[in-house]
Amino acid sequence: MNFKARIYALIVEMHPASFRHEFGLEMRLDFEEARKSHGVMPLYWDALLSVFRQWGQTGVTSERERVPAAARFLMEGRYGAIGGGGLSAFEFGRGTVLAVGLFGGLVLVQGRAVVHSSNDFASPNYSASDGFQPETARHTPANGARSQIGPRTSRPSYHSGPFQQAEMMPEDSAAMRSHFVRPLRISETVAMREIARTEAAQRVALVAAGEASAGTAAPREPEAPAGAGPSGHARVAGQILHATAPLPSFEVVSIRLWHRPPAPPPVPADQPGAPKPVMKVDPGSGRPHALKSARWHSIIPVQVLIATAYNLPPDSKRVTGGPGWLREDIQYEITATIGDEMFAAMQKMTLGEQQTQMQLMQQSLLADRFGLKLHFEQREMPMFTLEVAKGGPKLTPAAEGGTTRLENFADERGGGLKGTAVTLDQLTQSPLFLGGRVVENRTGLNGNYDFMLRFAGESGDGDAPGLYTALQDQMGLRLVPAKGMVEVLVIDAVEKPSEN
Amino acid sequence: MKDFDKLLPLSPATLHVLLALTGGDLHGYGIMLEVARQSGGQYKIGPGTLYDNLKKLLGLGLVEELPAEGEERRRYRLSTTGAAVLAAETERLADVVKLARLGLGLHDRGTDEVTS
Repeated sequence: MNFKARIYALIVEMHPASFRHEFGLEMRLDFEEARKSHGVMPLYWDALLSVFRQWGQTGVTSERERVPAAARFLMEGRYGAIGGGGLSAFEFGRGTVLAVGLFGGLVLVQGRAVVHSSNDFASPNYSASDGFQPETARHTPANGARSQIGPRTSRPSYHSGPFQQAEMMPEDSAAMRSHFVRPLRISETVAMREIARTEAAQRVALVAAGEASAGTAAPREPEAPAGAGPSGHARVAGQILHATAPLPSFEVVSIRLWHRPPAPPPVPADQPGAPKPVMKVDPGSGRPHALKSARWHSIIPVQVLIATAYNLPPDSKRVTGGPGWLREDIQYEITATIGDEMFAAMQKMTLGEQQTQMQLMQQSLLADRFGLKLHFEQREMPMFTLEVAKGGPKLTPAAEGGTTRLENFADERGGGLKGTAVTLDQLTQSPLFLGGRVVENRTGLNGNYDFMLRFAGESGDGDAPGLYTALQDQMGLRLVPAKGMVEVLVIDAVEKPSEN
Repeated sequence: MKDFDKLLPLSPATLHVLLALTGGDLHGYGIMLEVARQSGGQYKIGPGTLYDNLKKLLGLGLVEELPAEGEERRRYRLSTTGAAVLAAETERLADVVKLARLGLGLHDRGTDEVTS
């Protein structure tokens, strides 16, 4: 890192920890790219102003962060424009003195808060409920890569939020302060993010196929016996979530009828600013993300919320009954807050456990605010079986230790489904496959496979074959329509909520 | 539209960040370049201003971060709500411009193009 970049990194390090952890690396990377186009001094000034603003917002108290985001005024925080003329030495010096003075003041007035800024609040080990864990417990590396980076790598995500600040014991101040004064090199921070991403990807991968596994090892699912259906697995998408204990609840919930805003006028494709093509993704198959915030916000039809809360695909036909307005285009904007204690507990959960916890809280919300009453039935429904086609399977076994991943893809030739180290049970139970319709794996194949299944979507996708043909030609498998007993959710009563 | 009133007016930086994202998904430096391009180089923002605003916009749900796909840089997308807020701000600014033209006795640009 050269001298100018080091100075910029120091300024970035002066930001509050939550901001620095979330955006610090990006700021430094942007600085490297923008120093020629924007000039070094204006970028220094811009970063110093940002230090001032961020500490102004979060340095004295975290209460401000608890204000509902929607209540904030977008002029707040203002902005700094970098003019073409650059800055005078006086202006730069004034900014530096202001920022350093502010920082020093904070150290004196709220020393502990400054120490917090260098800490890892996102780590479960710093959760408010548990207090501070012994140094050895916190910093014990899980693998070699972690040990090269130090304490920060223990955080599961580079995001942090207002509810993640916690108390810290004084004896750790010196270590944290020494950590604070040395800006991380970009290579270190990139490595941190790569580890975080690797961990997240490992968790997300199975969730895309319906479940998440804990730990950093490749989350291979234990292989099911031949011909095993959904019962051969832990809970997966498509298996209705039944509460086995009193439902957990959100702490604060706001529900309002949502009015669809007018869409902005589209920009013609040949004009500058026209939207670029983006990956086609099944709208009902968004992958869950790691829990980053204690606030859950969604604009959602009640029918979809019910399906989601009970672990069914959004458009599942296994949600039946209820009044006609459930099928109308009525959506509610729901803002819910997870209590501090629950949020701290959820930081220790795997992604799959967090997802289940959220679903249970959604079930509680549906019962409390929407008066939802329902029961479950076994009904004979149309379904599909996946079988080996004539000629045998055409499957590529996955490499040992690969991370399971199932995702939609799109390219210039169309789109389809890409699987890495995916079992056929995972494939058939994923909402990405057949939109969440019930499919039973009767292939008797239990391995993990890599595949790139290219088929035409609803829009046609040019010359690509349909899913049934593609399965047969590209994977040597076939889908056979069948009927079977399936658990469905029957809505007995549901009401429009009172808004608040 | 009325729900967005409390978010308006947008600061120039917020307006330009949202506007930059109407062109597609961008990472931070891409937004900085797009802001400079859209303003003809008259208005530039640095990373500090950019991420101050992105933090706020992410919190409000006006901008979404795209899932990491092995790329080093984080990329951002205008959300539906963000587009609606930007549309509301555009309407508000159009009214301001109209009033300013009326007050200053300026010709309407569209009329100029027809008559001149």
